[in-house]
Amino acid sequence: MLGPWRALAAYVAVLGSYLLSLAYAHRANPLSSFDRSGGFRYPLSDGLRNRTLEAVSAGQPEGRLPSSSSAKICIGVPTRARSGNIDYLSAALTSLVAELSPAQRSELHIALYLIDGQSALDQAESSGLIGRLADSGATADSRTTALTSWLAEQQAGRLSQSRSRHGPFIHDFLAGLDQCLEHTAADHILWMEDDLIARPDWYQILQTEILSRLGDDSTWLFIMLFSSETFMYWASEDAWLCTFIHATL
Amino acid sequence: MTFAPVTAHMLYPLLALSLASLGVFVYRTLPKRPDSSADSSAKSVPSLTPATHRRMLTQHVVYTVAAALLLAPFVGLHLSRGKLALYPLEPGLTLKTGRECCMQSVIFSRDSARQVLAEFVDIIDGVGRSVDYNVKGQDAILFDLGAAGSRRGYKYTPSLFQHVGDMSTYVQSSGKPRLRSWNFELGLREAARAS
Repeated sequence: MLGPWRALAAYVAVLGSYLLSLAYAHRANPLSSFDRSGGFRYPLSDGLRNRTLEAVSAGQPEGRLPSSSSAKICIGVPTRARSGNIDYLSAALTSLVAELSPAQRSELHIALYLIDGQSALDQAESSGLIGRLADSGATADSRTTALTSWLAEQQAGRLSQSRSRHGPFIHDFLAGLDQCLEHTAADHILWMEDDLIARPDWYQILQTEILSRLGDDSTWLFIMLFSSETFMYWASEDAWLCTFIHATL
Repeated sequence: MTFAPVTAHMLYPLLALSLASLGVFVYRTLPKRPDSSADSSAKSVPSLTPATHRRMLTQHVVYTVAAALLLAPFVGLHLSRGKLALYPLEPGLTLKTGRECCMQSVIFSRDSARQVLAEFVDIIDGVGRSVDYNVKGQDAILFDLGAAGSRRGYKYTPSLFQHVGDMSTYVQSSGKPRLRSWNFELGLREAARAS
């Protein structure tokens, strides 16, 4: 009869052959890092990703934005200060605009919602963040709309109840949408967290592969442009071992 | 776009084989209970003392747990929806089915954004449905709204954005912000630079 160690060896062999066959099956999947068919490659490690981020930050545009009233897409970005003065927002905004032509940039309106109040707004204006990267900024303190006023009350109450895990994020989400709806006439409203960076070709893909494909279809409610089901990367398997360990434990 | 996705049914023979191997391993490493009433002199092998049995049982548990952990990649691949998974994500714009975690960027038409805003306000005001904000975030609520109104949600693969933030704005009950991704290096380096 099969001994215990031979059984274990068989088990490991099956597991290994399965994982290898999986990698083989993905050799022509352009979304996979096992892809050998060429095409674009995205950062596969933290170190590469950090260098990408540094390159994005170094590419910040100079000078003030021209005023534009014809934005087609408004990007609402709620932002909060993090401990240790960590700043992801500059990289996020730079990655959005760095690769755009002036004509494409004029089709965007980037509206910040500064959750930390007037002092954060003043700092964003004095540092040139608003005017150079973002088009406008607002705070709950400014009470620019009935909704922001209402949200400020909710933030102090129902949404911020102790142990309410998602309440503050719901507040930020609604505030970002409200900024765009109230201050622009854009056809589309894009909401994003303040610690993301965009692919260099994000705007072309959004126009040609997403919005134009849906066309006049009025039945769609939302299009997710980033979700964690692909984990934190463009290529999810970069973290697959971590994911398994995390999921297992 | 031509690639051969690995499908779920490929898993089952391998899963059955691995489970059978695991079963044999567990059975064969299970120590027999010592029989104090038996006459040890009648056996050709030394009798198992209770202390030896306990040690063998402990070893058995350790082996079994270690072997079971080796099964984790199978289960993980079966359950996950990443691109190395058994159900690889379809590239391009696809209809979103089910509720999947987690939404960090989304786009609406102007009319949809107005509808969503109004419906969220109703929910927070307690009109219609009750939501536990400890359980449901804006993405889960949004999926519910779409499903309730038969309105379509889409997703684009691969994502147009990538996460860089390690330091979440979500503050735990301890008062400390939590780290939420595996990309520790960036956050730690920037924190060191800031200090």
